[in-house]
Amino acid sequence: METRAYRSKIGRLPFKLRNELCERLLDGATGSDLVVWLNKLPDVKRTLKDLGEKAVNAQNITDWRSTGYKDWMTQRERAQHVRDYAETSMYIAEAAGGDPAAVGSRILAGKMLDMLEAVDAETADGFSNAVARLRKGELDEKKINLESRKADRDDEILKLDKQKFKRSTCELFVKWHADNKVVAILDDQTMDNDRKTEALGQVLFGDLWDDTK
Amino acid sequence: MNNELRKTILSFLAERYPAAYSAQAITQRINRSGMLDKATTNAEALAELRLLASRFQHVVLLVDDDGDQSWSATPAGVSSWQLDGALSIGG
Repeated sequence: METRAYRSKIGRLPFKLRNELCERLLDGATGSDLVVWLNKLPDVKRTLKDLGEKAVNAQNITDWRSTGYKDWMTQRERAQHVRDYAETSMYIAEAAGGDPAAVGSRILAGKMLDMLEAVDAETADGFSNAVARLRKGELDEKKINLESRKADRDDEILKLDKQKFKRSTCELFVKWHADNKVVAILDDQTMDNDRKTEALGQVLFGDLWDDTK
Repeated sequence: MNNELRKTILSFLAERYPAAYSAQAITQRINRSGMLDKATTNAEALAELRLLASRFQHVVLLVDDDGDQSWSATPAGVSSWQLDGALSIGG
């Protein structure tokens, strides 16, 4: 937006204001809202006064859409590409074995970025997209590895739980065997297993046993 | 001191962070972008790079194993560039 000198009223406003106006247009602000907003700003009042211009009107906004705003959108898109290319270059420098913080990697990234910006947009985008796909593949693989490790860990936890359960059960048997009431129930020849279970439940768990029914 | 050149250099480097460039490459790219009213020289760019590094800490000088010097934006430089409207420099 600064490479081109705009002669319009809005085009001669300070860069920051034009930038914010474009951001607001991108966010979908209406022309009438923007006219009200702009004309309230002290910077706009001062600039227009210095230029001997009247307040901004809806037509000025409409004209700006097809000139400065259009250029701003083009520049915004190009800036996004540069950032994508910067990321691509840094990734390749890292993939080549470089420490991302190391001087060599950053210089290499600069040289690659230079090359990407020098070729036509289609070639650079194609290359950048191919690298992005490669990165995605690597990230997916890392994710799978992580999930696999998580499953292994869950298995291990389950094994430990089972082991703990077996040990606790045996310890309880030892403890209960010392309880005369328990031994009497188990030795009672007149009861079948269902009745023994019921009786043991009452002795060992008291009121809690009824909750399990 | 050339404020416009300094701002342009920082924008160029911040937009490409963390990539690093030699002063010569920065000069060439900025001149090619047409962002300045008149072309800058390597010496002028170097002077502004030194100022950006020493006074503002917005760029840093990197020296590789061969002794070649390159410049890169710092995170503080990137923040400053963003606050200043994130100007994009082509070229």
